[in-house]
Amino acid sequence: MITIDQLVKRRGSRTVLDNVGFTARPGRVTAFLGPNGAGKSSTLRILLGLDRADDGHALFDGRPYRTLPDPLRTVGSMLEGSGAHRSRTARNHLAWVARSNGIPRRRVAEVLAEVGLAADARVRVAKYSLGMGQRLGIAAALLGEPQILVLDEPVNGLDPEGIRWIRRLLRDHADAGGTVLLSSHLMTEVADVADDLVVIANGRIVTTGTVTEVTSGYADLEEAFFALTGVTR
Amino acid sequence: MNVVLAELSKLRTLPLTGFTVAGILACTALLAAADQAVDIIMYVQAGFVLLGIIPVAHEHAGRQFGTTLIAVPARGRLLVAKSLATAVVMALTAAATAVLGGAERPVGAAAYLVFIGLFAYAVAVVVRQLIPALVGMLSLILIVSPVLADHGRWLPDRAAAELYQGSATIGALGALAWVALIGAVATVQFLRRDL
Repeated sequence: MITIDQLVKRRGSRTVLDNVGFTARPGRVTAFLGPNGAGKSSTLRILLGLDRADDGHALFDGRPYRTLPDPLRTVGSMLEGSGAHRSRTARNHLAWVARSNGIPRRRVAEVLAEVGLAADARVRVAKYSLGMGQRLGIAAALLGEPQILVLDEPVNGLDPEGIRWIRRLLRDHADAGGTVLLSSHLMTEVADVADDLVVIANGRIVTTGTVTEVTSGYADLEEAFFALTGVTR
Repeated sequence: MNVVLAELSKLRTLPLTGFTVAGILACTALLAAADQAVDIIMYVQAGFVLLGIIPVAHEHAGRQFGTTLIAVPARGRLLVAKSLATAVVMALTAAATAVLGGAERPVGAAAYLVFIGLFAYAVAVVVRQLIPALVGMLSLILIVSPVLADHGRWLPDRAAAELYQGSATIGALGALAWVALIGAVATVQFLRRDL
């Protein structure tokens, strides 16, 4: 269970997050939606302990990320692409990540196979395509067999086959009782896989609820999204 | 311990680390073979500056630092582990350099090289990026320090050079004072900053 409560983040005189709050529950896929610059990444960065909030809490089962022992065994996450140094191979990248959290070395080969990079394990990340980098980022998230997944724009750069694959992966993870939180700036990308939606615009949560609740009264998902976020087409 | 091993693994699997160590040792061997009169340490210290900056700067070339902080969000623990891993690589390379270069006072020479490397490491923790850290450190040891001559005896590299050129005690005190100062600034920065 992810609980975000009254999160405030200021950068200079600008309020990037204004009392952001929502939950993501086990057994469900929660999609965090909003246009670029709405505050999705800022929220996820605070949730994962990268940035500090000026106020409020972001907790995993009641604990802030920074206090989790070997956090990758509880929470698997991906922010913007591979997160690997370009001159390292995928295998070596995952090896140090696994080591840092005491994750058995065999998991490296397992996750590389799971994301379809087994054949490119010894290739330097610099030679990876956008989609391959994305798959490597997802491999790192899966390394510790976490119960919770937090993925920032996981669909970015994936080809249609990759998009279908990640949807299946997230659905299966939630169906097995896991918690999944993913962000996206495209409503249509996540509508098929999400159970719950959280919509953010200009640093404020504008609505939360199941897909049916959020879209009721609108012709389709896209119209709901644009109406809620105040973006004009 | 896992975090220290992870940091060592990062350094080992980064090609630039190996090239730098190989470059230092090759230069040392060449200088030792060519002329006994030059102060080999003064030349190869530039390599140790690079070796100190790499562990920090490579994290910020791209998005690896995000991965690092997600894997080890306890920043104090991360900084201790990274510093230890850097010190291990630095100490091994410095020992090999002092022996290979036939230094008159090998322990003092190795200690000086470790100091220069760790000082550069602390500077890199503050400025994060390779180029500013490298330019700053190289200007200090190659320009500012020689230009100031005797007026610059208190500068980090000159104070620590006493370790193998003069009084080891004074050198050790000078080195410790500088490492404590820049280390404190680096630690505060590292713990407080976003990302």
